[in-house]
Amino acid sequence: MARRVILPPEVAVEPGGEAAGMASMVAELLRANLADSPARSRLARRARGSATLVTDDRDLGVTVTFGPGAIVVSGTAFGTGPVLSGGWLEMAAVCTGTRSPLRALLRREIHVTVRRPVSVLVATAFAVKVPRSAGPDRG
Amino acid sequence: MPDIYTTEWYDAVRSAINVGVSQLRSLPEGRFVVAVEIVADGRSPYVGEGARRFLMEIADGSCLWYRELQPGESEKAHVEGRIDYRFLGPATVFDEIAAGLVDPVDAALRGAITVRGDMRLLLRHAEHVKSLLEAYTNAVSTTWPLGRPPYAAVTSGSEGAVARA
Repeated sequence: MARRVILPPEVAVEPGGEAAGMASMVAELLRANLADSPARSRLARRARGSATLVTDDRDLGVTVTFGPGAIVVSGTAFGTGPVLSGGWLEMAAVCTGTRSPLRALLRREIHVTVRRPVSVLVATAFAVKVPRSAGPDRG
Repeated sequence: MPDIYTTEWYDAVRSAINVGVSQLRSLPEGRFVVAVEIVADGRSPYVGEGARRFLMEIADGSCLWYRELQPGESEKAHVEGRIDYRFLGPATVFDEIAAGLVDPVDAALRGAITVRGDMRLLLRHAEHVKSLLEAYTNAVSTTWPLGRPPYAAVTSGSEGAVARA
């Protein structure tokens, strides 16, 4: 039986806000990850709600909202949902898989504020993390 | 001390970049071409009209070359493949970065400078990018023959239009 193709959800940036640059970066990261990973696309399509990513050393945040068939990245940390925060370099290292999230949590390099829905935190963390299939580098 | 945006200044920046990255443990493999477009905003005396455009090639983390394009000159004259990253923003922001008044990472994250390219690779080598930008910001003593930022404010609003382009 043919396997069902999972199309990645649309990823859009909500215009405006001082963190528009960070929102664009997160949106591009999500687009690339979802295009490369059916597992990420599947989870992202099922997820509902908002999670916020904060770079606390830059005092900037973005909110990722999962809706039906689309993800919207906002340039503000408005969400009432769960929050993943940490320094810019630490967040980048965790997202790209160069640092273990568990190790970063234990070392308090990143922090999680658990709020409902918790499932959206899992979906966000999984979606922003670069899949191994993307390779370590481009030579 | 070299004047801002002169060949001597770029040579000094390139040397500073290469000293900085030589101290890093992990460097991106391969070659990357970076284009920088510094757009006139009516405030910076160093970009009169249009834009100053630059190309830079990074190979295994080090800066191989850095050159300014003449008005109307095609990037393709210097680059065989595609441009991997593009940085675009108003001249005042770039000047303030070079003067150490604005943090370049903040400028990118807040949208004052637009960054285009493979974000995954950029984030994976965030420490390397930080080192590159610190060389641009802190490592070279720069002279400002036409005046040093911060510049007097203007009311035309042209800077914001560029920043959001």
